[in-house]
Amino acid sequence: MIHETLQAIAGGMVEVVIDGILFGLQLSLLAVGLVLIFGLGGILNLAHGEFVIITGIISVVLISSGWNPFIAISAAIFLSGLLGLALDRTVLRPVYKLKGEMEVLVGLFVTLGLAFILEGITSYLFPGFYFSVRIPVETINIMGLSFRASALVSGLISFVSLYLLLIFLGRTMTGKAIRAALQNQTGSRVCGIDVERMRTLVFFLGGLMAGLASLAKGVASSVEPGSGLELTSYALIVGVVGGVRSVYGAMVAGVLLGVVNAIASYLLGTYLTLIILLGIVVVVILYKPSGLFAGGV
Amino acid sequence: MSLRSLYVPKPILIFFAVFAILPLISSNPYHVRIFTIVVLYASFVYAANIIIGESRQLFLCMSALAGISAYTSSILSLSFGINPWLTIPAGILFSAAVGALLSYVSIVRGLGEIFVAIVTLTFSLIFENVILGLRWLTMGETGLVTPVLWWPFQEIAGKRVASYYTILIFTLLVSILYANLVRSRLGIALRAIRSDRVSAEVVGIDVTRYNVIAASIGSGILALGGAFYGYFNGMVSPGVFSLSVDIAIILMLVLGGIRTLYGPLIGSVAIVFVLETTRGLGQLTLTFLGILLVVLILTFREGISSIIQRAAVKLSGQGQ
Repeated sequence: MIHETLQAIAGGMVEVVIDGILFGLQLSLLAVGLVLIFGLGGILNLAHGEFVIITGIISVVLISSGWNPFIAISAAIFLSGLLGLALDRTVLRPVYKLKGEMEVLVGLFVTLGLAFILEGITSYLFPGFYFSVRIPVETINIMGLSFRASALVSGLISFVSLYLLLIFLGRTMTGKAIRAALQNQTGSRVCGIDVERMRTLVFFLGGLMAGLASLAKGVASSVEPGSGLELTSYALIVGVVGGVRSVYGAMVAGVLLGVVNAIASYLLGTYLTLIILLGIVVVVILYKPSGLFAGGV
Repeated sequence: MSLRSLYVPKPILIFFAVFAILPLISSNPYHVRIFTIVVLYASFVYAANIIIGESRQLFLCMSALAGISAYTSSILSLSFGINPWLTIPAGILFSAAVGALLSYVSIVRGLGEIFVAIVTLTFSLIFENVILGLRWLTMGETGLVTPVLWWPFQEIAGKRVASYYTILIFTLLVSILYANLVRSRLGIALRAIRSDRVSAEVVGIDVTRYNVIAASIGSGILALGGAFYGYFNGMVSPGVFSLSVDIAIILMLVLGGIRTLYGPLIGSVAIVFVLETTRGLGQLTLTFLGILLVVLILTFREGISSIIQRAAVKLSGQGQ
């Protein structure tokens, strides 16, 4: 009897952990764009969450005007990338002229202002709006454990996106140039890498990742206007724990925090969970400001 | 410092004389409420001017610090039936201690401004979630109806006007405190640290100590202002002390002029005016604040106050 109960709890726990990993992949995807942009752009993009929301809005607007959902969502994700590019080319131009800490600070306030602008416009124009992608299957059973299909698909989308990003950064020449520029800007300039172009590209990539995160979130739950700053703070939490300049760090930290989140809310409830997550951030910043997994890029 | 050596610049007195006349010109309850909010925000901006301006610690938890004291004082008064005036000091102590701790920890850990911003931002989120979570104590999102505070002379002047004058005098004292702080040993030390931290340390300035003192003074001002805000407002809620209040404070500071004596007054008048006139826009107010923030930060970092000052210097220079 006791043995069976324990087994049931353990079984439940396995499901909780896997659920956590799936959610964590979403978090990683959300954070990776923020981290990329901070690493090379030197800008802590507090408008990151708004990119997620705008992708959702564009998708729904396009779908409701008769586009094929697949093309509509792809177009929206691409537009999110273009939005990142536009950010780099317009409002952030004057910021790059500043030096050191000042650049970071002014960048912080400019993107915060931008977040407010977009949050205001989106919640004004689209009240009560939400972006959500329905998966026809409810649950999927694998080896006696049952999962929500939406969570599984969302995790898969996140995983593939992250994997493609890793391949791009690791295998292609452009990706390697980006990594070089992330590590050492002066050195890369010496080697003939156009750091400014790499930065523009990284903003595009960051926007693209936010767009993909929107899709992943739309599949798992829904994307709503007004939650942009909340999404940004999640990305920030993951980024800080992983190392604010480290792409791999953000990926690992996202999964780790996803698991912590799942276990904590399973055992303690959601309210304490968020405080635990925020507590982890504070502890990490205080004891290892460079992040837990900040080796390499 | 003896009272004799207290520095009270005349323009400050003129500013406050004008503010003091305002309710006599219009006793419309709505107007008096706006005047009160302007003056209250000015005190917050002075605190920001000390923490962010003078000691360059980017605290993004100013509304949380104000909120801590407002909640502490209200909850203590409600649960023990004590006069709020007696619980306000407890709120101030609590907030100042939290502010000092945040400052101390960030300096000792050698966090740059950006990490101080992230830690304090995280702290703001924690504050909000603790308030939401401790529903039985704080009433969560709905907000807590504050106990009634007796404002001096409210029997004669009426509650609204009495609270206005109390807060006005508080802000006057805060502005005089700021004027003197800048000229004091603390202010000079902070200036030295700002211009060259290492050299300041070499000549024996205790960087940690002065920054922590600045943070505690600023937090103390925020705390008293926050408590007044709560009692004046009649209720405290996470919305009242949300992050957008921090943004408003920073906007006021930047617009008025960071590290200036008159900037906080000018900034709070201007921004409250803008906020009130755009109130009908609903969610677009947020957009408006955002545009203001972006434009100000990119083009106007020195603020109105220093521009006026420069113009004044130029004019007097031509006169001679």
